[in-house]
Amino acid sequence: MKADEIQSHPVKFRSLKNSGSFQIKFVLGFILVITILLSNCSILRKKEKCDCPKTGSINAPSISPKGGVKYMAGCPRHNWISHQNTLIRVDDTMVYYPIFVRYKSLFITNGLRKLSDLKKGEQGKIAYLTDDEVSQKLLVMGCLPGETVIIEKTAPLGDPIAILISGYTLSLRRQEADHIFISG
Amino acid sequence: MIDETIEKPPVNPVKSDKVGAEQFHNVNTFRIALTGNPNSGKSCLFNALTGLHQHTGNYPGVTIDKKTGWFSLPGKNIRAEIIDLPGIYGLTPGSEDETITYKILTGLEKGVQLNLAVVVIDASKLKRSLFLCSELIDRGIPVVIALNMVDVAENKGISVDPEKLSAELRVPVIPVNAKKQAGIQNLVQAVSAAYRAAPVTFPKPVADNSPGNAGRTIQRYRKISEIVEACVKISPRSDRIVPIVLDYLVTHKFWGYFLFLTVLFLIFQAIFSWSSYPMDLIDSSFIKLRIFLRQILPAGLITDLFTDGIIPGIGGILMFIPQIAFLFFFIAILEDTGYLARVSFIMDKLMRKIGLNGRSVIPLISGAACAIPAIMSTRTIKNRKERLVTAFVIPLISCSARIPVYILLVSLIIPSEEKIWIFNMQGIVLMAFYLLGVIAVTVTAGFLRLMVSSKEPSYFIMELPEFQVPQWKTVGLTILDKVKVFTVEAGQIILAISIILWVLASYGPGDSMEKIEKRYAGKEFIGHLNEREASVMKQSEKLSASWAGVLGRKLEPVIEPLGFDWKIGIAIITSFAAREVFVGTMATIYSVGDISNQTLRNRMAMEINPGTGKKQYGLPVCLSLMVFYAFALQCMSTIAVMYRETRHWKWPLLQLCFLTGIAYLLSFITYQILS
Repeated sequence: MKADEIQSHPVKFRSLKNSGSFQIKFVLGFILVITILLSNCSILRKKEKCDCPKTGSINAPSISPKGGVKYMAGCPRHNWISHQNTLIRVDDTMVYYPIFVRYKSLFITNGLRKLSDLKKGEQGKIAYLTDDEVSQKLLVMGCLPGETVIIEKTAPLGDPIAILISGYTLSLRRQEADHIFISG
Repeated sequence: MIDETIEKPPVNPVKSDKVGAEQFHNVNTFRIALTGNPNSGKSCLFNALTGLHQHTGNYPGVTIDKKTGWFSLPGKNIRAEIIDLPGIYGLTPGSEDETITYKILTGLEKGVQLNLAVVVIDASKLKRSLFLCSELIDRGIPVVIALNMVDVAENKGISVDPEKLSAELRVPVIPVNAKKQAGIQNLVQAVSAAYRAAPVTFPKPVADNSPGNAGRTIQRYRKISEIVEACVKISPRSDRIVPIVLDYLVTHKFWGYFLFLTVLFLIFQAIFSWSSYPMDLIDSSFIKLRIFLRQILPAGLITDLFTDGIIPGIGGILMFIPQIAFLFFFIAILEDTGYLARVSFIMDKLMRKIGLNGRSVIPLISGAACAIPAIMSTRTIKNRKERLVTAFVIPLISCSARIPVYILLVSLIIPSEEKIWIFNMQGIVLMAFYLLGVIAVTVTAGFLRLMVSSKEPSYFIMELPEFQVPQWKTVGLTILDKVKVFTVEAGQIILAISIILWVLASYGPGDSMEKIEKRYAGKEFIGHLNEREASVMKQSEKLSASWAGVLGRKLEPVIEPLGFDWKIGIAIITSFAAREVFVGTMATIYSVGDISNQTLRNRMAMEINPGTGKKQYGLPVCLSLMVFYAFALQCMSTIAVMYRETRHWKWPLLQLCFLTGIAYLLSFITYQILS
């Protein structure tokens, strides 16, 4: 009796363990498939909503701010902005005019990323900097719209990051990198 | 605040008499400002141009060193005065050093009128370097460009055509190599050719940080890009492997901190133990000098002042030189190689949590050896608020002068044999006091972060310069400069305080001193004592009758709640010279009426409190005293150096009151709980 018990235990244990790991694998796989599907969907949806004349469909989300301008929409991916029914090419100097800066939330929702969101080794082009004291400092040091940045490394504790820009390494804190928006 | 100063028109040199006189003075000096980006080899070029003909002063009201040097212009018999300005990227006033550079370059700083600006340009970062240069040219300042680091650029595959650059910008461009001192003569020739006797008069400056400036910056850069494209050829070149590997290692998750700890260990060793040899040498030679002077000079007041007041005072100042030299030897190398920037890079997040900067690490750690060089090294922190907070909390780290005090007191409360497992109990208590210091730093810095207001926001936007071999000349000149600044500027205050302390300890009210002298002069009083014992006893009686003794007794009601008596009061006053003096003073006091030749420790252990009948130096008093010494700012040199670094008496006095207040409060709590 006792001998049987001893023999049967390992078997039981093994089978339990097996079934458990099978469940975990199954759940994980399921989650993975769903996330892939969802992310694909969102990518597709974004592509559909692009209001840029280059993609053809003009499906401009309209925002009515307090200022003088009534409607505004744009596609930062192709650097176009629609302003009072005319499409304007976004120039790197133009983003500094107050009217465009006011709509920066539009840029963010339309696929621009903050520099602080980039991972090590990733690169992109500076689209614009939010206009305040920090960006003035960054501009003077060569962080200009149109320049290519590469995330060279992050500090071991994750915070200051080092970027490669116009031929040298610049280190800045994440909160400062929040002011730089990257396209591409 | 900056805007107001900008709006002011520049001083008209002709109308005001005072400035007119200055103008007259300027006739034979040709003022040059040396400017450029940080890490462009500016200081190196400054040293190459001036050699030892340099002087560090200060700008009025700010804590930035003003480095000026001289060299003569060939064939003109004219001395050129050159000012080494702090490195900046553009003419935008922001932090303290940027503001001062901005003011000088735009002619707003009174009494400094420029004739010429020499802009050092890093050929490997031409675009960024030309930004500042173009701003200067636009303001009508005569500019000579020193094109530095051509070799570095060539290694990267960037070749710059200086003639084309000169033609594009319409200013002379001289290729130099500041490190190898090449091209310096050409630069001097160019400066000489640009010589104009009359200083530059500036057009009314416009505020440069006005809104919409960002667009102007971009437009300026666009123009610079065109110029750069015209005179730069880029050929792809493979990166050198050594700097990349080094860079990877020093910012690595494990190796970065490991290397940093090793460097800290080296620095700590140097200022803690290696510097003790030259320090002992200075100490013993000053003792010899005192003995010698006392022998050759006639006995009297002046001799006493010399041998007991001034000479030990000077000795006390010179004692710090080895520590300062060692610390700045390391800091200059770390700064020069580009390692310091990476240390702040890996430490910034930790230090920011307590309101400090990544650069605060090295000053704080070296504070464990001595607060004096540590406070001086806070200069590497650019932000004023962070620098002040760091300097403020440095004295909380237990420095080496506190060790004798701790050891004496620990030995009174814990027998040396007591052990926990294999660890000596005394050692554990000592370590606990070091930890107490670290905790105090964290808490105080966190508290001060909220208290100290600052208009200057904390940035960490800085270049991580490439690794370089340090320039030994620069290192040497940095050490020389720091030692000079300390001995001349902080030394004056230290000397003054040490003379006051000497007066306090050797003179008493009325004729009390003479009475003691007379008593010991009589043979019958000495009786069975030998000469040495008699002189020791006379010393201690004199000390308790002196002003310091009187003050100690007056202090007694104040320090009684901490468990201290008037004897400790005297020791607290005299140890203001240096904390370790506490032990010497206690030894002198406790030799009164004691002929048993006991050691100080045993003598103190036997002391009975007349009020309670218990041991005077039991656990409560000793711990309370140790806590007091851990927190109180018991060091005149720290106060002097703090004044020198902040240029204001407000900070050292605030620090003195704050730290001593905390010390009082915590000792009070310790004593009241334990007794």
